[in-house]
Amino acid sequence: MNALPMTPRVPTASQRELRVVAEACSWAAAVALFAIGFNAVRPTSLPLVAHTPYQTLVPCPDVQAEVEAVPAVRALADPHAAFWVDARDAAAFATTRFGSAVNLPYDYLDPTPPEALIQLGKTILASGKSRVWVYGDGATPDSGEQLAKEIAASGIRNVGYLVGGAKALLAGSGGAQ
Amino acid sequence: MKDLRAWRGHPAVALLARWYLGWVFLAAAWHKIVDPASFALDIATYEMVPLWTINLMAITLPWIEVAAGVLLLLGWRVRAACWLTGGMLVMFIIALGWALAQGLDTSCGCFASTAEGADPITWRTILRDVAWLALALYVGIFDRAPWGIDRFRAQRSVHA
Repeated sequence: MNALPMTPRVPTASQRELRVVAEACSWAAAVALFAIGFNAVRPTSLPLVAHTPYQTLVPCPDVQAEVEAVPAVRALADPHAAFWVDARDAAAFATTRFGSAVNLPYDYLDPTPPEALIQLGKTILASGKSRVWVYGDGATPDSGEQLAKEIAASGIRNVGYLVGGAKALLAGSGGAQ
Repeated sequence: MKDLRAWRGHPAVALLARWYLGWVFLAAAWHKIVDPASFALDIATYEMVPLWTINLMAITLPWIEVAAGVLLLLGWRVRAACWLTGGMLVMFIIALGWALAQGLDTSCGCFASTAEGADPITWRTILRDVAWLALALYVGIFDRAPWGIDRFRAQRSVHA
């Protein structure tokens, strides 16, 4: 019986590629072990596992929409000319409110939920008003101006904020309405 | 495709690509090794991976970048180095895309900590990483006899 000649098995291209991938994984594992060892001996070592969440402060995207600055005197002279939105918190809104304002509290850390803006748009549409005036706390920065920009950025047109916010309105009207 | 792969100029072009990529990865690793705590915060800023993986990534990832960079510069185990760089770049591209989709207005933390505010995340940042990924693929696919230690060792084994 004739013996077949033995030929060395040549790995296929995919087998060769798999070997390279395995080699890359080995490198990564070996280097990771070295890194963990290096971290253990360095003076400013980091714990392998963080137990308390990192305090990440990422600034919210700057809303660039154009809004009109409306003097409080003008707004008080014709309060029915626009739909009013109060950007202050619910407690402040419960104490003093102007015109037929609806309350949509503005939060500097949490952007206004899109659903709330959509709902506001529907309410404005139902009111038949063609202008929207937003007033806030009148501080610097003014929550009313910020909310007005968010409302304008959501696609609602003719949005303005009342300069000086609730403080200016209160001073101009001589008391809450 | 065979003709393209057989072109004799690949080792020279790939050498430039390798040196460039190697330098990029070493430069990217530097600030992360010097200040791993800041890098951990950078990873956390992406809000993409679970808390328990953040420090582990901050400790190990920069050294893997260094290893990949050194291997590319020396021309040693080049194809494995290409897989390493390619894998990391795919991971970075996914992270940047995620950050962009989430509207994160921060720097990418690629070559400096996000706290320094340089290198903001934009589509340009993603395109840059895609270009580097293309370079790594080019080297991995076309540079079959890379100039460097790999070629030196291959020549020695032929002469032996």
